[in-house]
Amino acid sequence: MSLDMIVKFLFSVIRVSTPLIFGALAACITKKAGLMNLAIESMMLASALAGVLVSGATQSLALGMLAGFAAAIVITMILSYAAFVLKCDLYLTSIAMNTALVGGTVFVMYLATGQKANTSGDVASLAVPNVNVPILKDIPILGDIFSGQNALTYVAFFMIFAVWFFLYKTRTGLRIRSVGENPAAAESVGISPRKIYFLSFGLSGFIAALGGMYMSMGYLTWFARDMMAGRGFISMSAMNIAAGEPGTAALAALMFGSADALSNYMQMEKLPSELISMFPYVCTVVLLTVISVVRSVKESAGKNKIRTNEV
Amino acid sequence: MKETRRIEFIFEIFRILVALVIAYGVTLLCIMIISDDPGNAVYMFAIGPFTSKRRFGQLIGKFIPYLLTGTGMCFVYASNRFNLIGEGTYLMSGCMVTLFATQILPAQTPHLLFVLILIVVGALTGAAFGSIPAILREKVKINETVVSIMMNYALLYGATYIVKTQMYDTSITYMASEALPAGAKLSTLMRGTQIHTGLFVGILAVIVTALIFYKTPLGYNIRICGSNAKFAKTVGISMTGSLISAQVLGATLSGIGGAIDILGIYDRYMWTGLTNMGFDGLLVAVLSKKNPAFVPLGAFLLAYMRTGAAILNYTTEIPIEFVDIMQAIIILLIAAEHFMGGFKEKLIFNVSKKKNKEAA
Repeated sequence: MSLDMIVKFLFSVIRVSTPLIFGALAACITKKAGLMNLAIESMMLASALAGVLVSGATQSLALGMLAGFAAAIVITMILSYAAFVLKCDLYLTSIAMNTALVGGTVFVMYLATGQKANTSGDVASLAVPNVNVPILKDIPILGDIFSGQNALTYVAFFMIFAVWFFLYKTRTGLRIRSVGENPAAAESVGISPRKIYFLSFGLSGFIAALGGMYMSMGYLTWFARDMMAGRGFISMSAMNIAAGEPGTAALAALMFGSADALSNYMQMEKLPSELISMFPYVCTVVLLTVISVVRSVKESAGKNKIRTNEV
Repeated sequence: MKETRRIEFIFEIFRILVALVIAYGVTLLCIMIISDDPGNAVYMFAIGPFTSKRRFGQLIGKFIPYLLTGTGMCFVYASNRFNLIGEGTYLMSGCMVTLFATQILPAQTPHLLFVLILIVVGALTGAAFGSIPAILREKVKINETVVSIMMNYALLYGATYIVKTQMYDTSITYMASEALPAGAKLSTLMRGTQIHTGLFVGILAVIVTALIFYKTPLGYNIRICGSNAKFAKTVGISMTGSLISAQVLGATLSGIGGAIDILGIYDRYMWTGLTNMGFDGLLVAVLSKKNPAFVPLGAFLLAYMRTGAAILNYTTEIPIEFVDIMQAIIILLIAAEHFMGGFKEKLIFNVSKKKNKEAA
């Protein structure tokens, strides 16, 4: 493998990891509020389609993105209302939402364009531009990898910091975490868990929307049916491995992104890429097992310690 | 007390009916709005499945695997675990059954033996993969939903890999395995339809599950663990054992479903994406309120809706996907505890008040 190929590969790793980073961060926020967000896939799909359709119709990128955010947040609000007010099972609702949106986006796409597969020929949608970073772009190798990425990719990296700051350095972040630790205790000091759940799902939808729009208005420039293809779930598992810490979750997302990039590369070379495609999923299950076994061993060791101290 | 339970039971049925009516109404409205020929479209969707022998056969062809995944999901749903592994085991056992039928077992094996072995292969595949999320959940406390969803995708790619490396048919333009030998396929009950002998397996599964649920200690334990975990623990029910067996049994049934579906309807393995049968099974379980005896009803209803949508898809231009939206509405309305909950409480309150007055 030549240096040039390695640089190109690393460039594509960042490119394919971007939606996973957004998804993982979106999952982190609800995780810290104590809830698993299984519906990231549906939020991404909704915003991807809304962004394409509205930016195509209005020829305004800003309006398109606004519509993307709005679509994802509407999904989160329906979800939150069903789960926290009507008391549906959250997981059941989320899964139903995912199935509904895979079909629903195709349905809406058909209504808007008459196409059932993708919007590539019918909607002249706008895309978020790529950015050449000044100074960085002139550095050899580093410039080739990090410069010239889509603007949203840089937003993703900024978001890692923003989400961490929000969760750990702001009052609302503290409230979210306290509800996640113990809703009853939080309620006793006047924090409404229901409000926090709505808020964290809303924010989660906002970040997931960025990931969705990156897919349809950056990575590709059209909407295709079921275009998330499990990315919402991969990013959720990246978050799971990291136990909801934004920085670690982004690293896990990059790792899964490399697997994705590698399988793309293998498909081009006509090698069976299925085993590589399996990697993120198998890896998650194995890592989760290892982590929780280690944790339970540690916990029991801790208990023994206390016992010996007492004696 | 008895009166309250009677009201609750009637109310549940009423609520499911209302949910169905709302979802059906919304769907019909959608069809009418987008179709150029609304009368025909609604006719095709609502009556279409019963207009010809072939279409009704199609409906029953869908109904059979729903019976199995539905009863399987009853086990999982009744134990209050959100384990979706049924999706992956369905697919994987379809793949393993094809592998055994085309590569391992001789094609001249007597029909009955052949089919029996293959169904057992399907069941074992289901049990083997189904036990992973179940054991991880009950022994190491890892979220079973996450593990099962991850495994579904892993099994999908794994099955494709097995097909590509072990039994790829290069004479076909799309990804598919070699053709199943004639002796392995389930025979059709009615010529020219998709109604096959798998129907008996499905009915048997419903009966056996209902018996396990309501006539054995295991079924009782599963139901108690699912509805009130604290109570189960207090009275000393082995939670780990009951919950693992519930989830493994669910995956096994779904595995049998995959085997039956492949042997009954398909000529070869050709699933390249998740089949959604696991999720559909969950919907059947939700529709039948975790009661296996009602599974045939729920399965028939779902098969009817899906067939109607498929007919609409090829007779008109309306895409089949709108059924997914309808499905979500039904799940939301039925699963929502508070949907019309105030109404129920009022009813129960009024009845008790009246009784108190009579007593006084």
